[in-house]
Order: sequence, then structure tokens, then C-alpha cells
Amino acid sequence: MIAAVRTITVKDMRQRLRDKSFFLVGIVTPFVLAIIFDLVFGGLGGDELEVRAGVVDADQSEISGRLYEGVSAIDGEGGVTIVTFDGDSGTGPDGTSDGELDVRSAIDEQGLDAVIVIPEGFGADVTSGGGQAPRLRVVADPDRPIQVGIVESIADGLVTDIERSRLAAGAGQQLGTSTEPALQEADLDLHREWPGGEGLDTGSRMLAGMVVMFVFFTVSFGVTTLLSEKETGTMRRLLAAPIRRDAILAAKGIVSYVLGALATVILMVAGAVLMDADWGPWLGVSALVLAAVLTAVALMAVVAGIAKTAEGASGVQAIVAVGLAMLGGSWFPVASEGILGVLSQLTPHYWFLEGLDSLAGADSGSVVLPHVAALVAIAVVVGVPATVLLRRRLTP
Amino acid sequence: MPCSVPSRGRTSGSDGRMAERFPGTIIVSAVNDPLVEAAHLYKRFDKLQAVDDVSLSIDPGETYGLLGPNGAGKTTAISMIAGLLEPDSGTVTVAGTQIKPRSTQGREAIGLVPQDLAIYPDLSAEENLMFFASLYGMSKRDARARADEVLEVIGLADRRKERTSKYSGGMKRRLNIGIGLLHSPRLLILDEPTVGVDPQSRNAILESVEALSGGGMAVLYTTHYMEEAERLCDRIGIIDSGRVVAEGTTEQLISRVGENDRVRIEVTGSVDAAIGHIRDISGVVEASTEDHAIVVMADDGSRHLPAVINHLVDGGAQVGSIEVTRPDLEAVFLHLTGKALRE
Ligand SMILES: Nc1ncnc2c1ncn2[C@@H]1O[C@H](COP(=O)(O)OP(=O)(O)OP(=O)(O)O)[C@@H](O)[C@H]1O
Ligand SMILES: [Mg+2]
Repeated sequence: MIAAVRTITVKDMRQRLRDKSFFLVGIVTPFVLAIIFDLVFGGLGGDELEVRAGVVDADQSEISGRLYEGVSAIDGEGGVTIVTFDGDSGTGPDGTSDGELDVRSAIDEQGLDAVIVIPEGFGADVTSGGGQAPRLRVVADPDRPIQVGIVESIADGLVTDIERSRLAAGAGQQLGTSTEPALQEADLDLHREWPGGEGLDTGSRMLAGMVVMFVFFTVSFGVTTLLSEKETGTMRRLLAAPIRRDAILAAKGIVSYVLGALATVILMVAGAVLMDADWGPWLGVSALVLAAVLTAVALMAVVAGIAKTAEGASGVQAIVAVGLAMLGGSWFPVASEGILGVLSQLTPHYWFLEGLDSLAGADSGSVVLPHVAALVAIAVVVGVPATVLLRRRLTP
Repeated sequence: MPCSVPSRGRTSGSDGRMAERFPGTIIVSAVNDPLVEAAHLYKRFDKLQAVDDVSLSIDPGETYGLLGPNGAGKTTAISMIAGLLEPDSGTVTVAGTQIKPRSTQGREAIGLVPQDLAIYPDLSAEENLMFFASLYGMSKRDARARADEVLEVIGLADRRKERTSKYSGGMKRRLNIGIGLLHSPRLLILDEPTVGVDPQSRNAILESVEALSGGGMAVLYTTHYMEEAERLCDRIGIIDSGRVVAEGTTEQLISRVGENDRVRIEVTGSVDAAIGHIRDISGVVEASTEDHAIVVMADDGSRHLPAVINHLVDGGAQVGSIEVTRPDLEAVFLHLTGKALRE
């Protein structure tokens, strides 16, 4: 068994390394993309992302007051500065051109990226328990899209929380069980993380996002050869040979894993050397990388197990790889609340990036244990059906 | 047309299989023991019974041909014999070991040459050979030595380092066969190895199969070319719709349709007067009319041809083209299945 696994592994490795796509897709593309994104969105290997946001309470209700305090409290967290404006002094009510003008000039004068406006009637919307959903307005500086995105995601998260408790209260009212409306549940969780926060700088974060996205492509080359062996007819020979069928699967898994890990390590070392990325304690980083590559192999194996042809598999694998990457925050931060937040946390990308985020600047690699555990859990949950499916593909 | 090849050193006995061996023949396994025994193989794909009770046995040094049209079930049958495919029921024994898809036992005894090319295009001929040699558990040294031998045999020694994607179709075919021979199997299974090969390469392939079988290897050869089956095979199983409808030496099979030649003469005008006279010619077994033609079955068609034509002309008919067919496997196939081997 071991000899057969080794033989097939060596053969496959030779084929893959001969095939330029490993270098192109596995290493060159993600690196180049990360550099481009970094140039577009921030200084190369540059400073931490700073966000300056303002908050205005135009409503002056009890609920808006609590929200206002909540937002103010983020000040100083993860590179965010919050400037507060008193809703009575100077800023007109929501929607009026006066108010708009004031906010805009405040953005210019104070060098703000965006201002969160709690509009008039916000508190009433919340307590009504039905009808119109409460909304926050974000007035933005169009020249600072990344920073604005962060402010918007803060606002989104807040509204989602409030909306959740509002609907719960509304439902309670209808059932006649509770007449006490709203916000008592909404102990606003204002702790959020985003790129350039306490952890990774923008450049490293971009690179990490690309690394974890492209490792899916890299490992897919290894797994998909199981299908191409059927197409080249060589599967018949493998099946006819005096080797255990599991040896074929094992070899394909190992090749994918090694290629994935290799590409990841090369990219992260390149990031450290060329982009001054500081990934944090190497033991933790290694554990995170090894676990993330494992989930990538498992997920791509499931696709290969379902697909009919190698070409079909590659297509679906590309969709899955890009889709999961977007959902998991490889491209841009994803809200951590709501359905999207839950879905996001089901992706390996999320755990990998969060893990790296907490590793950067950490004293010990052990901070990453929950992330590694989550990744391993995903790998096991996906890997078992993947193995079953792929075993069934071992036919002539 | 008998199918015996003298170099093979054995003749077919009355039971169609076992025979005495001439001195000097390499005896690979115990005398009287077939090397391959497939018993009552069945395989169904959804609604299609691809293989329907196929049994066959092959002796060492014997070449067994599975002759049948496209979709007859040849590849499916040999996939079960080679242990690739699990039969719905039935057993396969090769060199005394039962072959099962989930077990590795007995696999060394079998060499498989798949119908479709089964080589890695991005590896060289040498790398392909070394890889499969290693899968069959050969040491690096043995593998290298055997790869050298095989490369000589298949005539690719001077292009061994080239990627096979750059080979011509015939070269790929030869490598495909070479990989099957690599580990010196006792049973070589060739699935239509000459499809898409020019006549010259095809002859070379047939010659090497003859040589291998002469060396004591059992060969299972599938084809839908009856000439190949007639030339190579000691025994032939005719397979159609998953069933072996007849089995035996070429002679035995042909004797099933009778030893008679078939003479077909196109005529215009009346043959009614002539046909009675033709039937009276001694040696003519049967005479009948087809549309615009008369068909005569006779023990020696050419010898009786002048007499037949005389009777036709005397009867007032005009004679067109004439065709004399000696009985062959094609005729056997037609006789047994009512359809032609190749459309
Ligand atoms: N994996 C499969 N799934 C479904 N049907 C199959 C499968 N393999 C073969 N068949 C069907 O079984 C029948 C026998 O196929 P098989 O390949 O054994 O024929 P063959 O005699 O080798 O034909 P050919 O001379 O064209 O190679 C065909 O009708 C084929 O379509
Ligand atoms: Mg076939």
C-alpha cells in the first residue's frame, strides 16, 4: 500500500510540476493580484488602515441615545476614531438639505471618512414593532471607499441587531405575551474586526485573502486528476494493477495537500520578504496553514466526487473557490451578523483570515487554536463524504 | 482456413481445447489446467444486459479470441476478467487465484491492454513504463531492464525520452501494448489493439502477439476483425448482445454453417428452367433465387461454375456479375445472429 501510494504520488507530482498551471495559478496569480489590490487600496506593505467616522443623533430618543453611545464607544478600537456631533447643535434633522450640508462640511472640515446619522423618528420606528424598519444613514467621502465600507458595515451590524430584537418584540406583541417593546435585548455588540485593525495590515490581509482563495485552485488540480485518469484511460490500468484502490485516493489526496501547502508557504514567505508582512508566531501560522489546506482538499474533493468530467469539476471548483472566498472575506470584509455572517463563518476562508488576524501581533501561536479547530472540523465534516464519493469514482 | 500457427507448438484436440504438447514447448502451469477460467459472468447496466452468462477458459500458450460487433459486451467481459469491474454474478480465476475488484490477489498474472489508449501524455514512454513497472512491484533495476527490452520490442527505444503527446497514433498504440507486456504477465488481455492502426503496424502487432503466445503466454484477444481472429486465435468465442453464441476453432465454427462455398450470380431473364438442372449437378447442395440473382451452395464453387452458367444460358437467362464466397467467420456470424459483423 505504502509503496503504491508513493509511486503514484511521485508520478502525479512530476506531472503537476511539469504543468505550468501550478506555478501560474498557484503562485504567480495570487501574488500579483495581492500586489495590485494593495496598490489600489492601500500603500504597499503600508500603515494600518485608519478610519475616522462621525456619529450624529438627529432623533434624540432614548433608543437613539443608546445607539449613539454605543457607536461612540468604538472610538479607539482597531484604528477607528469616532467623532461625535450633538444632534441639537448645528445639525438639522435628517433629510433636510441643511443637515446634509452640515454633515458634508463636517466631513471636509474634520477629515472624516463617513458619518453615521441616526435619523429622526428612528426610535419610533424601533418601538413600533412593525411597519417601517429602522434605518441608519451613512454619509460618505467618496474618495475613501475602503474606510466607508468599514463604517457601513458597522452601521449594518447595528441595524441588524436592532431589527432582530424589534421583530422579536413585534411578534411577542402579536401573541399578546409581551408589550414591552424592543431594545432591551439589543445589548449592542460593537466589537468588530476588519482589515487593518489590530491584526494584519492591508497589504498582508489582501495577500492572505488571495492565498486562501487560490489554494483552492491549487489543490483542485491534484484532486481532479482522479477524473482525468478516467478520461485518459489510465484509470483502467491503475485498477488492473496489484494495488489497493485506496492507494489511488490516498496519493491524489497527498499530492493535492502537498501542492496546496507548498504554494501557501511560498506565497506567505514571499509576502514576509517582499511585502514586509508580519504573520506572527510561526508555529501558529503553520498550524493554521496546514489546517486550511486540509479543508481546501476536502471541499475540492467533494466537488470532484460529484462531477461527471474533469472539465465539469474544474468549472464547479472555480465557482466554489471564488464563491467561498467572497463569502469568507477574501475579497472584502463581510458583515459578521445575520445570515451572511453565519454563512461566512462556515467558510475556511473566514477562519483562516480571522486566525491570521489574531496571530499578527500575538505573543503566542495558541491564540489560533479555535480557528485551527474550526478548520479541522470543516475538513472532517466535508472530508468523510468526499472520500465516500471519490471511492465510488474508482471504476473503469 | 485453419487457424493453427505452427510455432505455437500445440494443436487443438477434439474437445477443441486440450491437446498434446510437442517436445520443447514451455509448459507454464500444470498440464490440463487452464490458466484462465471465467464462469457464468453476468453484468447489467441499468436496463441493458451487457454480459449475459459468459464462460470461457484459456490454456497457457493459447490465444482465445472474442469476436463480436460494437457493443457486443467484449470490453465489459474482459473488464470483469481483469478485475476492473465487479460481475453481478460469476467468478474469474487466473493462475489458480480468484480475481476480485477489491482484492489485489492474482493481478500480477494479468497484463491488460485497454481498448482506448491508456498512457500519460505528459510523461515520456520511459516514464510511463517505469511508473507502471513500479506499480507492479518491480525494483528500479528490474524495471529499467524490462523497460529497455519492451522499448526495443515496440520500436520506441530511440524516442523513449519524448513525451508521448508528441507521438504518432501508431506509436501510442505500440506503447499502450508495451505497458501491458511490461511485467511479463501469464495472461495478456488485448482489447481491440489494432483499431486505428495502419496495415504495417497492424501486422507488426499481430506478429508480436503470435510470438508471445508461442512463448507460452495465454492471450485473450478481442476484435471485430474476423481476419485477425482467424489468423491469431486457437479458439474463438463469437459474442453478440452479451452472449457467447458459438465457440471453437475456426474450422469448427465454419463447419457449423457447412463447408460449402456460396456462389451468387446476377441474372436477367428466366431461371426457372435452369434451376432444376443446376440442382442436379453433383456437388451442388442447394440452389435458390434471390432478387435478380441465383445463389448456389456447392462443395467447390469454382469447379461447378462453368456447368452452372451453361445451364443458365441454355435456359435463356443472361448472366451478370459472379461472386464466389468461401465460408468464413463472417458467414458464421451471419448464420448465427442474422446480422453482419460489421455494418
Ligand atoms: N459503464 C457503462 N454504463 C452503461 N452502459 C455501458 C457501460 N459500459 C458499457 N455499456 C454498454 O454495454 C454494452 C457493451 O459494451 P462493451 O463496451 O462491452 O462493448 P464492446 O463489445 O467492447 O464494443 P466495442 O467493439 O464497440 O468496443 C454497450 O451497449 C454499452 O453501451
Ligand atoms: Mg470494447
